Amino acid sequence: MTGETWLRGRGALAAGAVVLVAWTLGVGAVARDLRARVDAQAAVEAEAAAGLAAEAGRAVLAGTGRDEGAASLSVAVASGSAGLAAPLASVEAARVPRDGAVAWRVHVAGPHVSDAHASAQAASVHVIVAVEASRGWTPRGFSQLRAALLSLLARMGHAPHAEDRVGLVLFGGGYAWEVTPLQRVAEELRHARISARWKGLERLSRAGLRGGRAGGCLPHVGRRVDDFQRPRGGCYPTMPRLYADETGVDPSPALALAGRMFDAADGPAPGTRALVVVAATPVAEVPASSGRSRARQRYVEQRMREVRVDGPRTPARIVREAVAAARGMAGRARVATSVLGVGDGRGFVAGLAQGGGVALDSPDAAALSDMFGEVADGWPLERVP
Amino acid sequence: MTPAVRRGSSAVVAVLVAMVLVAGLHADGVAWLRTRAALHRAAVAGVRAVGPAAGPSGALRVDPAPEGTVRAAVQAAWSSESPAVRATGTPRFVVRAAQHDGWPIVEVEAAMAVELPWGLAFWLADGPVIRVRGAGRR
Repeated sequence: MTGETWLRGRGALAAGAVVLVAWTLGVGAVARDLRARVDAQAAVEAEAAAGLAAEAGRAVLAGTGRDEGAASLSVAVASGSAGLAAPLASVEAARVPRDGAVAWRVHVAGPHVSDAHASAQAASVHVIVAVEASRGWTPRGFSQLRAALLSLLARMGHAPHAEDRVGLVLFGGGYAWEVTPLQRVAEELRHARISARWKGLERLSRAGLRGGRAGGCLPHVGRRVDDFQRPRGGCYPTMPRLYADETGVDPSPALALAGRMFDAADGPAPGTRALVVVAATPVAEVPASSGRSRARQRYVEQRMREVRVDGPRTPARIVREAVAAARGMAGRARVATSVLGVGDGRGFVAGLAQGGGVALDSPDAAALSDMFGEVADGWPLERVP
Repeated sequence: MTPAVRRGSSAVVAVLVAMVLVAGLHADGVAWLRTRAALHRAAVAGVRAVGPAAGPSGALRVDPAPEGTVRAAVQAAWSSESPAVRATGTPRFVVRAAQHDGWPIVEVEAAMAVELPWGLAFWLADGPVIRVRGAGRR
């Protein structure tokens, strides 16, 4: 073998080896990179599966109060979502008790996924319902509102997060009152008290006699129009008073009061702060005379916290300032404000819907339960770390 | 040019070709996965549109209205993907209503033959197929 032949032979061999090494290294690197990407994608899909499972679990619990169906349903959701890992070595979905909340852990394992798991649960929510309770409600309509409030409370009680809280504000005549302070619904005693209180909820009390159709109110007229002594406290003595000169309908004091209630809540920050404004009366001017009878009688509501607006306000100013307040709460405290208008209150300041809240209308107060349900369905889930 | 130099040049060219092929394989794989993730997002959006988060109007029934809702949500989600993802092909979405233990659920199947730029997708010939199932209401 001559020197030149030996060099040619070695050269060819070396070139072939370089190509082979380059190809092998390249393919190996590609395989490793793609595998890492597949694993990352599978983890994301497992997380989506956990989210769907948690939603399904909460829906089943809210609908039935039981979780038997939820377990198998969540497995279906999980196994259907994990297509990337197919054929799967195993998919497990299990309900995880977590402070009484609904939490689902979805575990995915397969040839491409060594271990991907994710959990989700309903995020805690602080809810304040602000009800315009002046003159627009019929007795039947208010009874349907009561039923809707109780259905919301029951829904929250079925699958409560330990930090879920609910409160109630009534407003009308340029005032707002804290009927139910923001409190936890997971505690049975408090839940029972709130339920009992809301079962007896009425419209704002006017001077007059209780009676007429379906337990309505027959207001006094003439000189006795603001006579809250006979009977004492008016038609609904346990409720805040509404004097004859207080004809305004302004949600601003309710928004201000709700903002203070959200701010004052102790404990960890909730996943969602939701304000639901319900109205059956359109916005109405707050006249300059508003509050004079109350002042003349030196009546001060001492049973619950009260907020009032200052001075007369036109409907345009009411809408402008209320929308600005809702927008401010959405920006400052991430409050999702929804507005539900029924009867004559349809279209009640639709601009109040801020921060992811919705504006819903219905001619019939019977739809309020479904409307509350639609608002509650929008409350998000949070990942369990 | 001496024979040794010719052989050396050939080796360099061969290495370059190998690197290009490897790069193409990697680009195909990444595009396939990216498309698959987008299809999965669209299918999940469809399921969520009639799932428990959809509210009373989202109650699942076997009639055209929920299917339309699902399709609209799927298409909206797909349309929101980047132009690079949408350029890889035209997806086909199949929406089915089904039952699981007496509970209505919706199934969304997304399938697509990916048109990959490098033409090296012999091992990805069928394109991604996704199936997502989710809960509706009674």
